[in-house]
Amino acid sequence: MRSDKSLTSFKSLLKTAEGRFCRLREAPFVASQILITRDVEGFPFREDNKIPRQNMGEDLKKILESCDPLKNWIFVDHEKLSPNDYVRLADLHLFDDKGSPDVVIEPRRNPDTAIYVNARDNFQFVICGNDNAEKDWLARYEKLSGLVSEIEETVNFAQTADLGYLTSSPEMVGNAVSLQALLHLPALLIEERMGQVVDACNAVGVRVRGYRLKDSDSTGAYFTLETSRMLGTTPKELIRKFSELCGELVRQEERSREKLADDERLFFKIQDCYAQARFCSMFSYGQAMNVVALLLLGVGLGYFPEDLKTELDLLPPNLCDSAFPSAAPDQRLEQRATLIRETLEGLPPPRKKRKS
Amino acid sequence: MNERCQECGAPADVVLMETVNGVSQKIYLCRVCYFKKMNSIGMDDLLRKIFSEQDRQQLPEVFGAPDVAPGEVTVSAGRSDEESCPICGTTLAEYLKTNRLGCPQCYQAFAKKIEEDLLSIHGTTRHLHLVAAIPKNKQSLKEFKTLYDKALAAEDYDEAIRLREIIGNLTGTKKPAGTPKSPRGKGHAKR
Repeated sequence: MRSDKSLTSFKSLLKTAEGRFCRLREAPFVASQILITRDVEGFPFREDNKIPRQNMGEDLKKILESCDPLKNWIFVDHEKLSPNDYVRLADLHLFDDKGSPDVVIEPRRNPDTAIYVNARDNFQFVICGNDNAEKDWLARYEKLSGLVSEIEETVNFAQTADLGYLTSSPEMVGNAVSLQALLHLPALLIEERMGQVVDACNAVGVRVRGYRLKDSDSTGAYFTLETSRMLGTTPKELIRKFSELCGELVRQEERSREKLADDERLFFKIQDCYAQARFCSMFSYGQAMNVVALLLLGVGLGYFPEDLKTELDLLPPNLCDSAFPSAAPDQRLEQRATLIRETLEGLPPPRKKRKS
Repeated sequence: MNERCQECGAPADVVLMETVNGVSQKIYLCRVCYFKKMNSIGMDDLLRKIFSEQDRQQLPEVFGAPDVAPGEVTVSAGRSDEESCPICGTTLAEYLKTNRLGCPQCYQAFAKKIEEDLLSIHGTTRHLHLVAAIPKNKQSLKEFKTLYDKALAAEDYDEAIRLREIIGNLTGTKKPAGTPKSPRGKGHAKR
């Protein structure tokens, strides 16, 4: 494994991966992520006041360096990333947007896999995708668990017979596999059914959170679903059930969209968003994300041309506060509005499709 | 959401629909009160409350209910928050505050509290049937045989069957001597 000096490869990863991942679609299912957490036997779970971060990070890095399958991977120190690259990596799901860990990534072949080092636990192996088909989930799980197994030939991970793999949180014991999905559910939100969704998901062991990027609130009708029960079950069983749940939510969202397609109130709301996006001179992150989410819904309902989606896809990661590192708060509001106005320049007003 | 929590007056995060005597009403709650409420009712009550009959048919109960409803979990009386892990020094108070443990040894140091937490989070306290997650060494085999004998003695056949599968996998044999038959009939033993 090479160090973060080889940032040329890292930059090319950002360029090539941008076209492949996290293109926010008008479809309800946006992206998915599988996380496998592992801690090294005889190691504390993470650094704290008693164990200096630098030492532990270095030790963990050495452990990874000794693993053959990671020879061509590169180590990226989060402190050396520019805010823009940080946000883009987080948006590609190749970086944790909450814990600020260092990552190890394979930049050349399949830039969909990363290892978070020394975040909440020693290692978190992550793979991302954007398909909810059970077959696709399973293929990605096989790929990731294969990598973990190869590493396990060199490294002993903490585990017991009774509890399976041990991690820093009792929420992540057992198989220590967590599944996450990013869904875009504006129609359910407009119909005020998100309360039901949250309740139903909680009842079956799935947490629902608003999607957020670093330093920003959750907005824009994007929701992250995450499994929270993994003890006493196999990853395949977990995948089958989670994919089924996501599929059901997608169907519910599509039904709600069909109902809303002829709703005058929604059309007026989208018109309103169009006007804001074209002519506003200041936008908070929350306002901007809500506008983008409704415009995307408008594309899905046929109010705007299809190619608007491509423009909108690229906006969210560039709208959060971290994307304007040197701007003062009021400048940030203006710059955000300018970015939206420039992106949507020349966009015609929304029009309802004529019924044939 | 501009509404306030009906329990404590904080800004509301969640809106629940409750039907009392055929009349539907919205209940606005903040996160804290929402989880308190979730913990005070059983799973069946919960599903009845949150879905109309039609919605329940549309959304399957995909993950199944946990063995113990969250409300049934009790906190042991007289536990000292000063307990600490002999290896990393993490105290029980720290764990309760952050929900994070310091090292693998913490699982033994705070075993009682962790067992309660596992039950409320996962609905179970063991992960025995996942063979892939089990260390393949002599010590674990011995441990499993002891657990298997205990399960047989306690007539816990489900547990015994799972343990038998694990032992079979570890030793490369299919069935250890004295294999129990499933009380639920043919086919149950294979998972």
